[in-house]
Amino acid sequence: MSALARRLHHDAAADSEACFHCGLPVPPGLDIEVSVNGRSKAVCCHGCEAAVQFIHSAGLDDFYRLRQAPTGHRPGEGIAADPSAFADPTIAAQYLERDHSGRAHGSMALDGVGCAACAWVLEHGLAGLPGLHQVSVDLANGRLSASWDANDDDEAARGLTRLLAGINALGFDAVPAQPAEELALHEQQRRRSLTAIGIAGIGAMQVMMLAIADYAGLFSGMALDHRALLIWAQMVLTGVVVAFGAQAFFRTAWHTLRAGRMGIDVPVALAIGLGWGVSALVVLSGGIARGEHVYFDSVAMFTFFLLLGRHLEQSVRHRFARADARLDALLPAAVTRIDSEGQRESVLPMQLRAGDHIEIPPGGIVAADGRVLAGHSDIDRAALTGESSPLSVAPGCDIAAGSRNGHARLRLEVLRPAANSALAAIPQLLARARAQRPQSLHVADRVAGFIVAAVLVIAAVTAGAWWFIDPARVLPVTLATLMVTCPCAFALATPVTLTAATLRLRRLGVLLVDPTALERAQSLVAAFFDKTGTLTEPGTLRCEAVTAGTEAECVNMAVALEQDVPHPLAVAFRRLPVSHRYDLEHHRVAAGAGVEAIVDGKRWRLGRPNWAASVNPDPAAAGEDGIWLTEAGALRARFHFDALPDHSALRGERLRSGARETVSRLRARGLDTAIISGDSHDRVQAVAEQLGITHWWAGVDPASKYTLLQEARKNGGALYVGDGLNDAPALGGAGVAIAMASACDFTRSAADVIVLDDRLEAVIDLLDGADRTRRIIRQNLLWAISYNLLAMPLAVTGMIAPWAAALGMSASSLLVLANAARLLRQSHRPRESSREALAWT
Amino acid sequence: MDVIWLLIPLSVVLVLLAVRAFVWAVRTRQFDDLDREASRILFEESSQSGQQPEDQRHD
Repeated sequence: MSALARRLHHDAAADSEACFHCGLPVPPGLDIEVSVNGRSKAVCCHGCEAAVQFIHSAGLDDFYRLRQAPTGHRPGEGIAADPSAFADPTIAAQYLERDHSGRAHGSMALDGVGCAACAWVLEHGLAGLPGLHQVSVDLANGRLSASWDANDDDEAARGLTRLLAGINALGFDAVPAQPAEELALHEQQRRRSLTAIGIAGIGAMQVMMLAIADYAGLFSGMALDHRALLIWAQMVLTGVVVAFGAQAFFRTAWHTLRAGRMGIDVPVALAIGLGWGVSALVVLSGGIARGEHVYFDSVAMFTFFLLLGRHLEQSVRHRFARADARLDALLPAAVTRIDSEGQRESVLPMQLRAGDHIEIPPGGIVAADGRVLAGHSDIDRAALTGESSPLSVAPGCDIAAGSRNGHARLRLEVLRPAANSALAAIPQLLARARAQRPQSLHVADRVAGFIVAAVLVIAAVTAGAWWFIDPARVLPVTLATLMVTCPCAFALATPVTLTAATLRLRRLGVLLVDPTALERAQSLVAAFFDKTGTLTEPGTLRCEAVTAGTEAECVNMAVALEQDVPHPLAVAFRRLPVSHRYDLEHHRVAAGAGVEAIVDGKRWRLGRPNWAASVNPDPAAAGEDGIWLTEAGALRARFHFDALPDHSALRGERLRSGARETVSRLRARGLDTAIISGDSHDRVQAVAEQLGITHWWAGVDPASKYTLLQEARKNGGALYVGDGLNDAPALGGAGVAIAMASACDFTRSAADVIVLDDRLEAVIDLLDGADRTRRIIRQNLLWAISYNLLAMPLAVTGMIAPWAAALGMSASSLLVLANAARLLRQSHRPRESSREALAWT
Repeated sequence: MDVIWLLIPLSVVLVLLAVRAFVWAVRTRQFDDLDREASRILFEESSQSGQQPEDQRHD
């Protein structure tokens, strides 16, 4: 299937109408409309409806006119923090700073912010909050910082809750964030590299201008002292470029040399340093009068282009490395502890000790490993273990930190502090995986040492030989040799190509965080997949066998019943389209059975067949599966997930649209495919059979996933695609680590590559891109080496003048650049996701 | 052509001044957020009509 056809197919499946607010597809049959400037627009959910209305009432309609792309973010579906969790002054104080002038300062991590218009609507929409002094959005880092009047901790906490609630009302999600040191470091690096580029850029342009005047003078005749002036000016300006712009190259070169290694920066620093140094020597020794050539222009331009490439690479890397790879990022901000007298207090998860009693609200994240003391609920461990079906828990059961509580309040006894939980092991494992990852070396890096040594030896030998042949020609010939053999084109070949490949893949919706992944892709022997959320996605519920009334009525009622119920199943129900809202009375959740409520005097139930249809169970359907909707005990409708055919084991999930094609194309490339999942045996087997995958592991914990990938590395490495928290260590150990965009920040930070629109076929795009990149890198290196080898004998024998050598070197570098640029030209695939990619940049 | 003795050194000084100005701009964080500054003019203009004076406070 072509990319376009695939896209159309995807769109048709998802329905073509896009939500006015977030741009996500409006579920078919859903009928919520908002009126904007007198015209009615469809929205996809009540969260978006509320956001549109709030933005309109604040007079900020320009948001919709000026934004570059819809937010792609449904309110409440992101990192959303419950504002009430921060109402407690001691908790809020952890995230705030109060200064002496009676103001509190706080910083929040934002979700759903894509362009300048989002930042604008936030700043203006929040500006009216009482007591708020200042609010500003840092778009590049997805942070909002604010300060408000607060004379004590209470007031500060109130301000924080108001702010969070205000952000939610505007349709964005936010959590208070502790000031990230890493973020400040990235800012600093960015500023430093920008300064270097600026100095090198301005300097190089000016040097180039002077150089052109100089070259023109060679042909039209120029007084020697005028020429000397031009060259002296070049020397000063290039000196500034080298001293302030190329600093970073010298520093890394020095560090790698001191560590006893050879890096790409060594020849770069050497070329820059020697180029300037030798030219300056020519000037100072009066070489201008003898008609000797100088290379200030080449040095300045070389520095500028190299800095530019580095900057692009660095900004891509920083954008997705911003997640805090720390334990407290995975835990709730606050947890309710109950002391021996039954007093409740809010404490930080890190303060919990073994033996403490804590309370977990419905839908809350469990903060520490614990044993249930009271309450019956369902626990969703998908993020932690990859298990897709919730687990019922009762007093006596043990629960792991990081699980999400279901519909009922639980009281736990803490078994061990959060720092010793299985959850805490995940950041540790990831750190270990990263440390053990083999230092990825560019091809160029591996031979750079050899080339630099060779260049120096050849230059020294040439100089020595010419000393005996003709001492007057030692300098020009040695210089020509150095210029010809300068590994500039060679040094450029790899980074320039990788930069071009990164840009091209970005257009295809594949964000390359670490471009060296393209090089590692060549040695892959296997492709491993996570199951839940990667090969599969949550299924859609289908309403079947309506015995009375219309299907729409039943769906409306079911969605109404599942409103505000924190259960994975309820989330699936709430995705269904509704056309009418019911008022419920006596709405309650029956643990492990379903939900019920009184509507218009009749008792409606939604849940397990034998519970819901208690009054008059249909004997024929008694053994039937599915979720029943009953009115006063009589069956009205049955709900089923559109699971895989013949696989009732896979309830609640379905294969992602591109899964089958992706797996078969990977196999066609000669890669072994396998599934490594934390989910149950049955479910993994069902998916494996559907995809024709023979190797699969089920019930694997994060540490074992990592071990499996370590094993695979011995044979050349495996690609791993995952999305869960439990996949983070495996991603760290994989040859090429790919995360879905829907993964949490923590998991994304472990990946080399992020698939922006959760399109599995992007794996194929990546491998194709890697092939093409490799081909072009190989061509570039081949060209650079053969040019050097062919021209070197001519230079050594004194047949090339230094200016011709410099020209040849520049032409060689330009050819390498042009060849790399071919990568950019070949992306004419019409793709919708470029819009989404835009929102990410 | 003797004016070149003045003009070339002058150009060098000007370039150094330009570099200095650029470094100053980066240090004062003027390049921190390029996306927003590009469209700021659009937003400020339109916010005059529908907004309370409060929204001027954070500028």
